[in-house]
Amino acid sequence: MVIRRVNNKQLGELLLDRGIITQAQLDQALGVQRERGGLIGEILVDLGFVKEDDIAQSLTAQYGFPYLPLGSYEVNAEITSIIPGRVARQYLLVPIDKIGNNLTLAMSNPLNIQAIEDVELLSGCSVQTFVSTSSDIKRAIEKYYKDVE
Amino acid sequence: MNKKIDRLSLNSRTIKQKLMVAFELMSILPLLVCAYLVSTYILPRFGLKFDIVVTLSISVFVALIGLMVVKDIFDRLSAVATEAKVIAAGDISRKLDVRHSDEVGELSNVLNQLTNRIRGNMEELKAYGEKTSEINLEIQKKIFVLSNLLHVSSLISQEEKFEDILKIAVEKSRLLADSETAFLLFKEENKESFSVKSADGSGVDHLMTVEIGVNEALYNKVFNQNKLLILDKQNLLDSALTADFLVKFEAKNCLSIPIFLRGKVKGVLGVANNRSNFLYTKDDIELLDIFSKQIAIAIENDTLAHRVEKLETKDILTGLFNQNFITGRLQEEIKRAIVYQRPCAFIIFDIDNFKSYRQKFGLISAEVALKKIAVLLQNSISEVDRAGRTDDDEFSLILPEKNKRQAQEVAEEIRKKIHSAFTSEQDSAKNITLSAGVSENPLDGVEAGQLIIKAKELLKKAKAAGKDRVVVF
Repeated sequence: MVIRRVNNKQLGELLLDRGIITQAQLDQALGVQRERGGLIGEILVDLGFVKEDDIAQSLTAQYGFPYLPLGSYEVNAEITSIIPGRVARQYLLVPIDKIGNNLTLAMSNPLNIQAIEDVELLSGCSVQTFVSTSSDIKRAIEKYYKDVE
Repeated sequence: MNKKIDRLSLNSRTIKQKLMVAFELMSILPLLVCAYLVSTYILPRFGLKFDIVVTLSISVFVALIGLMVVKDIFDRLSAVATEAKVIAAGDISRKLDVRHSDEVGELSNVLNQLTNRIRGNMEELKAYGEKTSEINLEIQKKIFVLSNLLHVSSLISQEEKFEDILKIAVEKSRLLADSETAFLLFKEENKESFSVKSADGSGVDHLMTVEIGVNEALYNKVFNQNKLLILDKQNLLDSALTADFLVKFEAKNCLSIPIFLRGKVKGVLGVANNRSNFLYTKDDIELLDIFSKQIAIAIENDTLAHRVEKLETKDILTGLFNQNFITGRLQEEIKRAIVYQRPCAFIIFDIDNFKSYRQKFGLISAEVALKKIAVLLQNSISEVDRAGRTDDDEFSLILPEKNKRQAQEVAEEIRKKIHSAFTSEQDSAKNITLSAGVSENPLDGVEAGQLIIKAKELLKKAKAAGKDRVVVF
């Protein structure tokens, strides 16, 4: 719970710092989160205060995560099979490439260290992350993970 | 002196002897006097005259006849006396011969009447005796039934297992109304039919397979209108239903009583037999009804006990959460984790060799150890984590927001703590260690059941690898 609060603040504050949203918008989004739950990024998008691209680009600019537009990217099925569908869905990530012992992930929230640790534990690889929008990742998951778990 | 007088007295003599004395006094002495007079005065003077001889002979003859008459009377009297003695000794079937209308005859008659009356009274007494023993038998039967009822009630109050109570109640019901079988039809929640839950007597195996739909004609009134079903020589069903009954229960006569609880028929208690010309009595119905009420109480008790069990969230011994709670809570935490794209970890700890520890040091020491472990566990986790005792020697932790690596750290820390807390330098048998399996959502599944199964699997690996360790993969 402590970690989540830090993360929420991180993304919310990041967008606030970068002047993409106002304090009032952030407060409103946090209010919605308290009421209905959900992720702050998705709430801000739902409320129309930001675009998904804004979030991805802010993460890129702030932390140096490279941005990957997933829509035009083809992933090898062998690579997606490294991570089970339930893990990809829950953490909203897609493995896109593997070179040697390096696995590349596209994530909507590359700040989710625990998710990265889980993938490392699962694959035995060291992980490098790209940022993508939530919708792109969801589409990719639908495309590559047909199984319903 | 007195004895001598007694011997001389006539009082102790029988009537016959007295008669002889009387005869001697009345006849022989006068005759002797006559003989003396005849021999002294008449014979010397007149010689042996024919008429004297005749007169004397006639006198002797008449005296003898008198004796015969008297003897006859006394013989009869003594016969009456003998008979009376026999009757007094208890042979009341005797009847005296009443041939004469004299006093002896009357006496016999009176004696006969008396014996008759006595005989009548005796017969009446005998009839009463028989009736009393019948009543006694009935009372015995009722006492037997009541003691059976008492047995069932005491099982209920001792909170015996529900199935055992039903079994015994059905067994005891079979002892009623000459029954060859007894059965309990029961409707499980969410089922549309009644099936035999318990049965006793002949053909149990067949009975246990009987299932009757809620709206089937045979038991429709019992199931839906809370009515009795009586089947005997006076209460007949139509032929189709009788045939249906015979197939299902293999019996001709049956008494079935609904078990009514909270406005619904939950079950039916029945007894059956195959006797011809059989009739159920009011007593049979009343007694079986009491048994059905007992079963209703047992069912109600069981329902309430289950409800309480469901409401309980804590383990009584350690104060940690119980298995029910932990499973439910884990499911909730997983749901939350999925929404917030977070992990949620689950650990199962099992105490190594705890059975032998309990055997060696006893139940109380084992409970003390369990409590101590519970405290150590509770002190090793954060506010949002949940600790539970999920089996006799098994503990579980829910760690929201923690992934497998983080959970492994927690598990290792607890394992070490327990290891050092329970290391005894004097007696290594007192050492207690834990093995653990760590699972996580999403890595090992998206349902509580999946995480529990995985954690148990890993726990087995830990045990197989030598215990006192944590396994995560």
